[in-house]
Amino acid sequence: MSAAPGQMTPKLVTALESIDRWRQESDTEADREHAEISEEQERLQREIEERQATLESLATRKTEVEANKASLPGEQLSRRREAALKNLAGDRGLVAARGSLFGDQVKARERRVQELIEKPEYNKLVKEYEEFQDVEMGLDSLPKTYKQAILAHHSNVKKELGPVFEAMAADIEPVDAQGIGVAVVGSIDAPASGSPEALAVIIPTPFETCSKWSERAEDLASLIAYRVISCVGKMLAEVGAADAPLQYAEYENALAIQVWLGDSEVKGNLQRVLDDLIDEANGKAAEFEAGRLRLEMVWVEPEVVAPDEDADGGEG
Amino acid sequence: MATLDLFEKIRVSQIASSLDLHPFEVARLMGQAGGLPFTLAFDQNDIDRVRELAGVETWWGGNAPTVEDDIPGRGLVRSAAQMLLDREVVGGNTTRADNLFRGLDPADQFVVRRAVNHLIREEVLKSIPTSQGLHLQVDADKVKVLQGIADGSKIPSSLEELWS
Repeated sequence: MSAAPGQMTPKLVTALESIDRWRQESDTEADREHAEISEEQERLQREIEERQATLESLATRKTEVEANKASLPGEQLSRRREAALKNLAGDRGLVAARGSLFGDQVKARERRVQELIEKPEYNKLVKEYEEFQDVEMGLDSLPKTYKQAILAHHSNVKKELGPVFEAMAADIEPVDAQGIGVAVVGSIDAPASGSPEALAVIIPTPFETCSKWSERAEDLASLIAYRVISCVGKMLAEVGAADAPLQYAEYENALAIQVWLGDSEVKGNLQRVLDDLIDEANGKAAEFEAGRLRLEMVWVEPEVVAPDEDADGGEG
Repeated sequence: MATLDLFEKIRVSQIASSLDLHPFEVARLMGQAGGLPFTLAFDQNDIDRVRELAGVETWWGGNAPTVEDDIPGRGLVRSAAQMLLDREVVGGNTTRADNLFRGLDPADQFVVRRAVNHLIREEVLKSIPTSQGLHLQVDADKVKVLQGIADGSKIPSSLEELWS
């Protein structure tokens, strides 16, 4: 009879070994979890640091955006001023170039008249007409009958020269170029809730149309200036400020009309009235039609056109 | 004058020259009186119209009554004062400031202009801005002062300095 295998290792040993394994396994598990938690903590810490850095960066950016936003009105004013000056110079160039083409058309009309007066049927009459200009002043010293005879003859000569007068008064032929629009810049200075105190109107024509008018030809630039001034005069009459004093000044090589309204009682909307009058002038001016040119009022804040503090301005 | 000019109608600048005005004054006045025509070409009637609109008068000329005085500058100023009185530029009546100089040669214009400026500063004359430009007016209570200048009986010493 064989003996059944017995329990050779004491149960305590087995139990202690089991406890050791448990301990070992538990240590391992605790170490693993500890490591995981540490890793997660570090990750979160890094994330917090990154978020913090992002927050700080956002705060900095927010301050920058706020500062930028605060500077926008100034920047807008600066850009509007730059645009106004740049386009004023551009429009002055356009007017000068268009004036040259218009001048060519005026000369073409003169050539047609010249050709006409060189024709034999007019040539002698023109000479007589010219000579009359010299003798006219002395007519009063002649006997009445002589004077009457000369005047009657002169009247006949003038009548026969009718086609020459008509040719000289003929419409200027339109320029061979595309239509252009140029801006007349207007600005009204008024207290927050009150009547306008001053008006500035800047025309893209040289100031010399004012300061040297007697030395220069009456060209397209001069005619544009007359039209705008006429509109300003009419507008002032319509808003009850007919006697408002006007001054003419040089502004960035252009012509500026300055109107003092502080002593007038302005009734109505002068901006709208001037807009309408300029618009109306576009369709009622022979030189605009021939020059294929239109004016348009563009209104800006006074600060946009305020002269630089160190700039000099002449007055007409 | 070129031959072609004989056949051309009158321009704005020519109206201005003939009336001793600036073309911009002509443009403003015509604008206020209805606007500029389609073609900026005019005739003698337009010059007369602008003369009236502008209140242009020539006070100094062949028949202008002048005050005799040993000192030419003082004579001019006394004459100008008398002209203001003769034309009754008093109270509500005004006249263009440059009517007082128009027709004088430049040197004499200078003398009268200085005197007028002085009298404005002294408040004997009042300057009034109008659509025709600067106007002058004499307040009723200053007529005696002007009369004293005109007849030479009481010329302010400050005015005498202008020609002494």
